[in-house]
Amino acid sequence: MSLRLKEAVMIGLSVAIALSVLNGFNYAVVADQSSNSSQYISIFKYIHRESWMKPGGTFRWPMMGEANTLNPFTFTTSWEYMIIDSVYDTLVEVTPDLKYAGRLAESWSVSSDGKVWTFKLFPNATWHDGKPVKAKDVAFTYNLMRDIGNKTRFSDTAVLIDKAVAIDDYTVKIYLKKPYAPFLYMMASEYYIVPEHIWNKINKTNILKFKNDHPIGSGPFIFVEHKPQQYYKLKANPNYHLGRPLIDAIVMPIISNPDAMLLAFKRGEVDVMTWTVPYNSIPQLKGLQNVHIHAVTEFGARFMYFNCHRWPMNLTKFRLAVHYAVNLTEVANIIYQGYAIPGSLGRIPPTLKNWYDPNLLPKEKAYPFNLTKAAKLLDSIGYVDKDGDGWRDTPNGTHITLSIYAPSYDPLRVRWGQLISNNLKKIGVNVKFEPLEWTTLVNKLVSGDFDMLIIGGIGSLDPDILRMLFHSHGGWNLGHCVVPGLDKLLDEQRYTVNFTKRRQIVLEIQELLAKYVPVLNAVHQQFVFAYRTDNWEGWVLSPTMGPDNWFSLMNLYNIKINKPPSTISSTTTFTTTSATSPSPPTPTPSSTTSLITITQTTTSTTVSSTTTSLTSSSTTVAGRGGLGNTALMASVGIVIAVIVIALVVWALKRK
Amino acid sequence: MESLTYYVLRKIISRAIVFYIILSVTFIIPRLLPGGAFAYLVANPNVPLEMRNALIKEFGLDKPLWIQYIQFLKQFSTTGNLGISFSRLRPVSGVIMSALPWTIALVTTSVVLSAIIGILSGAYAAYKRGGKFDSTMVSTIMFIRSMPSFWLGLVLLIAFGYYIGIAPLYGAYTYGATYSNAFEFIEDVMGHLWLPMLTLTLLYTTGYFMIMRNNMIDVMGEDFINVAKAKGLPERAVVFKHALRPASLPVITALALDLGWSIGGALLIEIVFSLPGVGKLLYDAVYMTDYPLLLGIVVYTSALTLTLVTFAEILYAYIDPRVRLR
Repeated sequence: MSLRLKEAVMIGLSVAIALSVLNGFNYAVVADQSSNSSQYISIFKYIHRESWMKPGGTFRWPMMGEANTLNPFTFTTSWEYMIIDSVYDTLVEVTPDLKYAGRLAESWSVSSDGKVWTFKLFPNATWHDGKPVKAKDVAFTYNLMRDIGNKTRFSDTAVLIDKAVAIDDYTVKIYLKKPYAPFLYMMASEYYIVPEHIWNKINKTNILKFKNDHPIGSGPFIFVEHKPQQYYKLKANPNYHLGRPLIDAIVMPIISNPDAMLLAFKRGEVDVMTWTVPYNSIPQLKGLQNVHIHAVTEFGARFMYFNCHRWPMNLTKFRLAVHYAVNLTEVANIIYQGYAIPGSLGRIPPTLKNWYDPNLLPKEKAYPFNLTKAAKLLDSIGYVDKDGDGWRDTPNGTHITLSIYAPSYDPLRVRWGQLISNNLKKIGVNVKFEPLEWTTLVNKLVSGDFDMLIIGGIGSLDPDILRMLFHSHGGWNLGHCVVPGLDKLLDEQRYTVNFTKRRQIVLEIQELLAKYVPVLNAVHQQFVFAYRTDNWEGWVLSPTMGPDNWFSLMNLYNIKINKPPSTISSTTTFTTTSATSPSPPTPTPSSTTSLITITQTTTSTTVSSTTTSLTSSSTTVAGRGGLGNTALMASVGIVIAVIVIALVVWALKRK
Repeated sequence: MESLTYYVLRKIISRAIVFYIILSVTFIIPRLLPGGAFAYLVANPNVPLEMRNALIKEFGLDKPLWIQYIQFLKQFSTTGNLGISFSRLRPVSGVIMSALPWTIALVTTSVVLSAIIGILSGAYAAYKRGGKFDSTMVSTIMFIRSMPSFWLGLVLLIAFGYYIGIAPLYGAYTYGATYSNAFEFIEDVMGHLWLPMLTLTLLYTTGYFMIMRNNMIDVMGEDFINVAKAKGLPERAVVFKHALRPASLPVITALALDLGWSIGGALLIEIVFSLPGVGKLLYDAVYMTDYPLLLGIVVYTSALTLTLVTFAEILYAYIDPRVRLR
């Protein structure tokens, strides 16, 4: 049980990561802004209202754990994000089709040197206590981050702030110390604006201990109450400057048991799964009426670190040999049942079309699975069997055993770790594969006490994450591999505001990564979410966001209260590439190549009309399978076993 | 034979020493575990290294262990303050107190209920030893006993909650509901807690039944039972008046221990049924390496257990002077 829960929490964290990088990124827009400041999209394009839509109804939005803090600068989990993103506003919001729209800011512009950003605020925004949202609040927030940002989740970006100045009530200028390419993505859509009249009373040095029990923001929902370990409650902000949400109230029950959440979802007791659906439960969900699934591809990867402080991992040829020793297409299609894209050699998944290098060969083309070739590479670095015991030894003849560690809570990663180990053993590499408990694994990773180590996540829609992962001083470069010439490029892209130039650098970075393979990117996993349409319609779907995103919350309307004029319901589906369309990729060997080629820009809004009334009614009975069936059989089994044992004992005693 | 006062004093002092050892071990051991404080934040890209380091500094975890230990002892002995929970950012006592009523309601009811069922059915099984009831109960109890608690809970949850649909799938009451009076609330709570209570009762009953049955069988062989039988008392009176009381004493001891351990005892059940109790807190505290909260829960649990056990021993000593003999 504890393993199952651990897995739950850890994947929950991954979801947190996914959720936080929902703020998609289309750099073309930023580049345009550098030259033409009027390039932004009206947020009202994404908020759909009809005259017959009436507010009302309670949206049931489950959480798996307590929100430990509602402090918008120090929160860490996706449960906290759910509340904070509903209660507070950012300056801009990344749209489902990866553009920028103003949320508190009506419009903005950037100076030609890329250092001064000017935002004009919506004049009618108010705090939940009734006071208007003014430019001084924005300036206060950014100056607060400059002063104490090093203790918060924004410590990487806060150091860039020079100052923020309110020009008038609704205009604010933010001065940066250096031009910062991902400003809108990493700062303007991440920093929640807080009211100065409340936060100036807070002890700045104690920001990490400030729990913010009752947040006052300017967002679409007002915080109502919290019962520890039981539930959170929010209600609609009737004066929201972008329009009142049609959801009247949100109840967020804490369901600590992931199986119970799935059962509650299947029974219609919650409206959406905030927790990724296990792959083996997907078939039973597909058969249920009013239930839909939605897959989101991660921006990072499930990957393996090589410890470059140790021989032979410091040799590119060894790392290449490991690449030759695994078939990633099989890993994606068999272990991940098709809910994954084989890992890209340049780290960036093909779904991030703005940054992915289309000329880069997929791993199975560049370094196809070939154990003979892997063995030859090992021979070439002097890693051969000297004493004839069947295992390869170091060039000076000593025995060597390489360790591969994997997180024991994730059976999928354990399986492909096992696969790599077995393949390496076949070519004479003495490998010790060991799944480890999470904190032990992290300890090994941070202290550098490993040869190869499997972990996952660490992704972002902005390529600046590559600097964290591969720069020799990067916080996530825990294998300490140094690729010649890479540091310079990684620094350069960060300060290059021009999109075309920056993209060129990012492509060069990917070429270098593919050549030196400092890590093994196994797969870009897809996380599957599910939502119901028997109470709420108007879901906004995007391959980069879960179904319960901010835009969905602004668009959902209760169909029990509202009678749409026609029977056709509208679920808005946004696409960036068809590689991550809601349906999973078909597990065929050719999917690698097909995924790579799909990079066309389809940022248009497609309204897919789906009839909800009749289509799936014939398959309701089929829904009870998988987990449920096992448990039913188990309980029936228990009853039968008890009866049988009792009968046998009784019969024996009678003699 | 020593005096009762001296005996009580001796017991209290020895228990205080045990409590101090528990306190120290619970303080030190988690801090020595691999990964260190806030290890769960390490692979979260939303949390830069600076923030984790600032957290470690903020809570004084960068200081040497012995300084932390002395500071804690000073703080705890002078004010009784257990500190601030790292994860909940609230005083530990407050966090525990808000979860305690739920756990106590759940566990106390189940323990008392299963003690009653266990004593009665155990006695009856011993009385009809080898009979149909006895053999059926023993095999059933063995079967339940061998099941992991969370698994039994999960099976019952899926069966009653999902397929039969007469139990809620999560929570201690209908979240977000409004009640016109206290009885409606209690009704709602009972509607939610009956299944976890049933699970716990099933699990606890197994222990009480076995203790009771085996003790009863021993007692039935004692001389005073033969005397009672020789007096011509009816069999039923012999069993339920003369044998039941002495045989149920160990059950009372087990009951005291179970009640004392009740705070953390329902951990897995609380997680399976998503209940807001202390067991769930304990799980979070371990997962989030929340040392003060972990320590707080252990302090509450051990304090309660030690108090109840000491109280039981003193009671015995008062009732039965032989216990005071060295």
